[in-house]
Amino acid sequence: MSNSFLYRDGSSALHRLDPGIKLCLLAWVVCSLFVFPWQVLLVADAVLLAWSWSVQLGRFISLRLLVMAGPFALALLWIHGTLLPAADRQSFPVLSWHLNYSPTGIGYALVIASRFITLLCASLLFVVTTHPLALLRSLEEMGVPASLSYLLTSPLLLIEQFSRRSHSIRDSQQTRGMNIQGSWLTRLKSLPSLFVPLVTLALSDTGERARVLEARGFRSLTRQRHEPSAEARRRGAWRKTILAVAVLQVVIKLCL
Amino acid sequence: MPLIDVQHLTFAYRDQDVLSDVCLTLQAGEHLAILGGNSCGKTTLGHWLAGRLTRALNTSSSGTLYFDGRPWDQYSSIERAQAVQFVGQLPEQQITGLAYSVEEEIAFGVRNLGLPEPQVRQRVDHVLQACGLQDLAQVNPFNLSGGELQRLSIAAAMAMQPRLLILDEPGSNLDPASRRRLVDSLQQLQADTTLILLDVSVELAVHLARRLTVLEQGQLYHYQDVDALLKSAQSRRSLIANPAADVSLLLRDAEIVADDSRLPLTADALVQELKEASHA
Amino acid sequence: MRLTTHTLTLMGVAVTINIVAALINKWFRLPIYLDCIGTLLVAVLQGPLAGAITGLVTNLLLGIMANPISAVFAPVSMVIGLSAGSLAWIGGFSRWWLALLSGCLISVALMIVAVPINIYMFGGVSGSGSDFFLAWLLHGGKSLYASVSVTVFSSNVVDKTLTALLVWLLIERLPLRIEAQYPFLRHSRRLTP
Repeated sequence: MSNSFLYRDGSSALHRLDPGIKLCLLAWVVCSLFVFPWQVLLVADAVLLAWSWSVQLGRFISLRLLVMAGPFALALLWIHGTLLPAADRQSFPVLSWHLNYSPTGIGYALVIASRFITLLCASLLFVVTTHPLALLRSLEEMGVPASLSYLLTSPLLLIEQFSRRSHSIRDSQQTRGMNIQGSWLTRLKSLPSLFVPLVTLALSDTGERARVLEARGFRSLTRQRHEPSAEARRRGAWRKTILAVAVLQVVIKLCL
Repeated sequence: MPLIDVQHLTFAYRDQDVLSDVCLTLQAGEHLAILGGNSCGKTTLGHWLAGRLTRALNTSSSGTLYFDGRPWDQYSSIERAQAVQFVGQLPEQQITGLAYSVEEEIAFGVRNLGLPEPQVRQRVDHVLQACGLQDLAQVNPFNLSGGELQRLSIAAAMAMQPRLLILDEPGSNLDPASRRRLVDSLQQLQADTTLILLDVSVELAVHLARRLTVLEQGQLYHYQDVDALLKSAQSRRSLIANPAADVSLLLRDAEIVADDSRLPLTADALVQELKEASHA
Repeated sequence: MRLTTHTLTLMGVAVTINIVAALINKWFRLPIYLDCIGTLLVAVLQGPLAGAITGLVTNLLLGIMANPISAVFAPVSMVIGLSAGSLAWIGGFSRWWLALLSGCLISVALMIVAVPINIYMFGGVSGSGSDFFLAWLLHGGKSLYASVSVTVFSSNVVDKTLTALLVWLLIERLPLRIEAQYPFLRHSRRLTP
């Protein structure tokens, strides 16, 4: 399929798990960010990362984490740990100068950083092990309306076509003098030369595509859902259980 | 009662007239060709016949159009899907954008009719065979060539088994062999399926249509047969005519060939005509 | 309220344009994002609700495809669509200079939504070059809220203004037969004297 996606082929347990269940697990992780302390979150991240290395996804995920979370965590520590005013500011000697820091600020930075890293780690594992098509089929099984399914599916299918079209419009406009190498002003002035034909063509397709969809009966009948299989019912039960646990832990946290 | 009854249809974009007092009736099972040059309004007329009423901003219209005795706005979307299918000129615009394979693209519309899965499969397999798409069944529609997309869009429309099938320049992206296959596919349509072919030349029309009309300057002209059409001065100006017939018409104008015989539509028939003229 | 099929297909295309715009932007190497051009286009052609949904779906899909954190900022994209559509409704895209002004107002609207998300979820930090600007503002004595607001606004105002101008240009050059399909577009057409 398209290489626009983060999805990587594999046969791990997570690859084989139902996308709907994985989505519910991701929701549980999101709820857990506000329930568990940062130490627990970082330990969980370490476990997930270790597991990803065991299924040959470690390098990809670690690199992404490093690139996306590294600068973020450093910026957090810098800004909250040393820049923002705090009542408990302390001085720490480093060579010939002193680093002013706030333990409360650093603590706050660690909380935010751990949430970010956990969210990123869990999200990456989800998208890397879930093909978009499989996710959409799972959503259909869960009863997502045809219109929402269309909105989520059609861009995934159109991206390659649009990329190809953009390339060919760029190439043909360059032969007509569109300049994308000059000064920033020249490049800015050239933007419409690419976008106008791209968007006009796209809008031209749109009306016709809508007519084709309607002509093929899109959204005209409530789909007659077949009786779900035992396997589908089991998946549904798991999804509900995970979501219930996610909500329950948040409620408990709020009540305590 | 005619299947299609159009009376005094007039349509314009702002101040630009497109259709002018068009009248047309069509019985169930008839095969009609509407021929005309580029920008003559064929596609617009086709849209009207398909119930794609273009009552939009900056347009004006008058006249009546009934499908099976009722105006189109009395049809529900599912009734309309079963009544008429329109296959447009640009193949890449004819796919839904919802299917990852040719097979799914064809099955999409049929499933929306609420048919049981075995019947869906049967229809899909039949049109895959009829349109020569069996080898492409698992291919992503966006990876097909123009000709393949055109066959797919016709297949998807045929799978719906509509009462009226409208094809807008269906041969434009096809090589000669594919055009011959298209003719064979369309000849497999059910006997009661009404066909309207919109085209710029008579090449497909001679094989598929039993009635011929020409749309020129917004008005519809009816012809008895291909011969009458190609001999008409109006059609010669506005159509991409059959080359053999075109040469023969020039020879008749120059009185080299007699004007009383039927026009040749193939090179062999033209050669035969010339031989007869040289012997005469 | 049920969206028409035409609106759905337009939104699908607009989401695709939003995603592909990042690729196009790499060719032009301009300091803008262009990742909401589709959202603004839908908002001007079909109204604020369609624009908001386009923004939402764009971020959800980007979350699946490229950057999982994008999904967190889905409300911001929704507000971009809502505000653009509302401004279009009152003629905010009927002149080029009104489009520029609309771009600024859209930046203000998105700032109002983005700042609380940014601060609560991410401590006001983005992990990008704008954090240096943020640090400079904090060092100058501004509060976290004010600093993040200024950072978010300044990093978006140029992009949203130019995007709004580009969308104005796009709708000015729309062919008649395409314009005819979008009644909401009449709000962005100049009133003839």
